[in-house]
Amino acid sequence: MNYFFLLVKEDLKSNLSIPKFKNSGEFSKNLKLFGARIEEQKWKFYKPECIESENFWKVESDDNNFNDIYFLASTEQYDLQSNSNNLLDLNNFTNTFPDYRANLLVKNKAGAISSYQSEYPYQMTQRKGSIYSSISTLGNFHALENGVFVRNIYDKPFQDEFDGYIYDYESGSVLKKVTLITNSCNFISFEDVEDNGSLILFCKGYLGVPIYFSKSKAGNLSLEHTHPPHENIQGPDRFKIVSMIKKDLDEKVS
Amino acid sequence: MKKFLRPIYNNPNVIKLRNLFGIKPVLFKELTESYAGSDLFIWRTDGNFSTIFRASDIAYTYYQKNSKLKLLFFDANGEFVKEVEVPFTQEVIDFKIDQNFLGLEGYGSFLAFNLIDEITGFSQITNRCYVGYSLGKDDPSFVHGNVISKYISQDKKEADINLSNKFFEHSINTQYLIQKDFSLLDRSELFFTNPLEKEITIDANKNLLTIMPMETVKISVNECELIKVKSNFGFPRPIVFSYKESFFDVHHA
Repeated sequence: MNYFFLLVKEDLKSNLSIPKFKNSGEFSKNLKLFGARIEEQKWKFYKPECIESENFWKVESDDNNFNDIYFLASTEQYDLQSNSNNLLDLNNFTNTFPDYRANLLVKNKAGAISSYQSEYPYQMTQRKGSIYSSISTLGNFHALENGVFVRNIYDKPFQDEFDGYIYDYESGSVLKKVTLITNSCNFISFEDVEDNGSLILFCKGYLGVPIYFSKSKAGNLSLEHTHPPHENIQGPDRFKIVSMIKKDLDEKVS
Repeated sequence: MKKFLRPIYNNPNVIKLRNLFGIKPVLFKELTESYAGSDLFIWRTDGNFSTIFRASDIAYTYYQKNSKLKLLFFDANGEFVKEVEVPFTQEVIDFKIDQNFLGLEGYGSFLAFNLIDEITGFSQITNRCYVGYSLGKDDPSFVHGNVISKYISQDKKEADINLSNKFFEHSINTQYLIQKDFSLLDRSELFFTNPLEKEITIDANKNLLTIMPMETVKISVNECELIKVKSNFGFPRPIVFSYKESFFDVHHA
């Protein structure tokens, strides 16, 4: 199962297009779109306002829904979820190969757009951990705007603080420390950061998806996520190696 | 019993037979040797486009080994154009691909292998990397690699490049319905490559194409909501460029 989300910041809204079909072409028979948001430290599940067509559910960001999450479920599954205060693995419709994806598109007032095919796997909502992402590979440091969204979705309906760091491997120092919020759309600007090709984003305590955003001098937008670090190598020890890298970095930023 | 049969069932020669007869086909090889894998990335120098390629130093970060990046460029017909080697002297290599570098205006594909200088242990590097596309002198819009397609054995990388395929050869009738609404865009372009060693067929909304090995094909589409890709290749997921007014968007499908 997967969740879907929106991204917002000043002068930037987003549109989420969630397909009613798998990429194999199979359409859902009885699934509907539902939303969830946190109110008073409880998940509140609801039927979202959306534009529904033959092929898509479409949700646009507004002042109220930018931290909400969206998921597909049957009416019975929704009832089951509504009676739980944790996120449930309700169905496997979006568990596909190649991965099921919704189109997450950001747009600004000038009409510029950028999108990526997005999803947030249920399994990631069940675990704590850390985020390790190379800023220097996706940061756009000559652009007018440059930064990274950090989106976490966690099972428990809390909006806890956790720490994010921009770490410079070359100088061995933390260039910036920020406070991030779980179950929220966070944005870290690189406005006051100079790239030297050795910058890493490290976030302690929770998992999440780092999604790099930039606005070019001509106004074009860029939106793309980095891969989880274990996808850069294969072999039986890859998770162990990644764990050691993260542990080492954890000690360096502490 | 299943445990006993699994090594037989997953033997590469048996997989070839499974793929031939369509019995639970397998797309990707599980490798046991040390290797560097690469996506089949797209470069563009057509129109006013140029391409930026970025790779991080996976060999040093993960294995504490010095390494270089070997880049191999192919034109749209799949013909080898040139290769370069860039040593990792810092965490990220930022490489510009334009008409001056390639001597070509157009599009094609390229491979990027993170090769370790001295092999002393086990390493399997599937450096995913990022490609940025710029119009004119503007800043790039980025997309990550699509799928690991080719590999080089880390200990057999001298002299002539011996490219191996991460895909098993196969012919699997596949349908890939791109999960995006194209109707709100002015137009889109789909870029397909063929990493197999035989020709493949692609049918994208009735645009029928035969693609030779390593060939890159661009299909333009407009005025449609959905794009359905049918192929005898099991992973027909294109890179998508979409245009709206003076802006463009790029992502994998």
